[in-house]
Amino acid sequence: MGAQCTRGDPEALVPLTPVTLNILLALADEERHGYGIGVEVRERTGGRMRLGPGTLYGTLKRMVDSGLVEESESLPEELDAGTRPYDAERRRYYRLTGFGERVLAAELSRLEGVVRTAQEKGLFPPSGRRTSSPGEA
Amino acid sequence: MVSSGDERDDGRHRDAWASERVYRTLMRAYPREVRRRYAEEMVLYFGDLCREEWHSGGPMALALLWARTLPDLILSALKERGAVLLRNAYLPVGPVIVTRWGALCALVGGSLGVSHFFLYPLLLGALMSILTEAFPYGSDPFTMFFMPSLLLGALSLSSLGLFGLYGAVLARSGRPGLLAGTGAVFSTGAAALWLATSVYFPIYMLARGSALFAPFEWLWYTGTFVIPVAMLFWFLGFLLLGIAAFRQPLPVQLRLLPLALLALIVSSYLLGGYYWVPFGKTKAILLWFVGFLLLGITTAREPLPLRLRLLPLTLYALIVPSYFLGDYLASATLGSSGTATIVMGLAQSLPFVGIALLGWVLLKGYDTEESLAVSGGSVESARATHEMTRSVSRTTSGAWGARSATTSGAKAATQEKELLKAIRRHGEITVAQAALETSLSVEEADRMLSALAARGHLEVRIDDARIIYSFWEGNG
Repeated sequence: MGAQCTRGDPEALVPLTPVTLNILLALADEERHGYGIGVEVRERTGGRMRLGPGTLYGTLKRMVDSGLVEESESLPEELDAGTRPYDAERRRYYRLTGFGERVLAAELSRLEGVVRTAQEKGLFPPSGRRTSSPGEA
Repeated sequence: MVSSGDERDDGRHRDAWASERVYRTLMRAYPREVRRRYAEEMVLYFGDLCREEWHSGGPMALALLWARTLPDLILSALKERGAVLLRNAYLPVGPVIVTRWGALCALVGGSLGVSHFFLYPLLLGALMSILTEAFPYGSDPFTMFFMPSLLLGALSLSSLGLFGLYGAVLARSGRPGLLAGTGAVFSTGAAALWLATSVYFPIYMLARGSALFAPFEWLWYTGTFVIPVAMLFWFLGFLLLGIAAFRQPLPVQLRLLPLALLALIVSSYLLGGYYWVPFGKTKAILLWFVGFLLLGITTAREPLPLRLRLLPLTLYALIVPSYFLGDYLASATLGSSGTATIVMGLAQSLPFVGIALLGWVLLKGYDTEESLAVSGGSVESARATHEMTRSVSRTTSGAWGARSATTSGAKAATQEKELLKAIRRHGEITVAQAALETSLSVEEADRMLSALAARGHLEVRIDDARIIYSFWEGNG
């Protein structure tokens, strides 16, 4: 995922790594800062994916360079002066770009295709096991 | 989020705050670019995780967080440094892989060399000399195996490092200047001599038969066999460097000189035999050290901070007198074998300290935030071109940006196309040529070419004080 892929064909970036996919999913519904992304990913994957600072920010850096996400220029609207954490100003918020949304959609439809194939072959859902989360992709 | 203003004053979270401070220190593992962009956020994130873990499970949970975070830190730091290293790999004149990893090998090899030549004789050798008045390296099995293997590791890595360093210097210079070229001549001469003696000596020993029939002698000769082989690789590296330098686009006399010297050395050896080679082993080492010195001088001319350039040079300057001291039996000069061991250990470690420092210098050079895409010309030219490109980058959003705002987009695109077609016709172009070939004025052509080069679309080189622009190789 290099800078040369920026805003090109979304298909060129799929398949995504599990970390990239989960960060995109975390940012799909709202802008978040690093800790917010980490908590969302951990909770959604039932604690199976815990992003260390190096992994999280290394991936975010490459995603910003590739145009998948961007740094938000202002704090999210829901953070008004009354409820804002003391260090909100020190944190950078990230949000999905239009290109990032298209890449996420491309990846999800790829995964959908994989699941459909598995269903056709009678492999999914496996008996006695629950559906895997994207963290296990 | 767990963090709040009240918690800062809470003594219970001292461990969490201490962890955050330690993590901030460990951020040094990441390249400067990552630190500048993300260090503050990463520390905040880790601090949040620390407080959260502390709340959920106390010190044990915090310890587990560290156990998860440390591998993450090491792996991601390696990945980021690798990415910076690859991005900032200089346009190589020499072999790419060697240039890229040479500095790292030099650092490791140099450190091993220091431990072998300095720490070992100083701590163990000197102690043994003082207590027993025996030869410091001893003759026990451990020493017999340990010393050659350590030496082999040090020399092999150093050889890769030196090879790579020289390649890196050549690559950064674009072409070897007079000093680098002369350094290559010395290195090549030394390489040829050592190569010849290293092959000869083990064969001679095996032919004598003593290595096959006397077990203890065999151990000793194994050591003496391994060391020349390591030397062989080392100087083979130099030899290849000499050849690489020989293939550079230099004036014919500079390319013929190494060849003539090589021919002299090889013919002397072949005709005269080992014991009356005009350049004996001692002089070969001296030649080699002079090569080091020239390498140090070349590196000192790199566009790096003064302290990074002068320290290796100083050490290399000390090598030659130290070597003379060693050559004339230090113990005889200094009176005490213990003192002599320390002095000799120090003297012999100097090349390796120099190698390690040069590796460090070059790795610091790689840790820049922008890529040094410069080829051609001398070191000064490369520096000038780099400075020029940087200043153009700074002004691109100024003068050139302001101008392009007032010029219609269509006109600018047409002019740019005219310029690119002119480059394609000629292969390479100067500003004056561009002004002649297109509808642009000299000033406009200068500004436009500089801006294109600053954005990485064109290659810039300097030839006889002329700035020449061309397409990147394979891009035209």
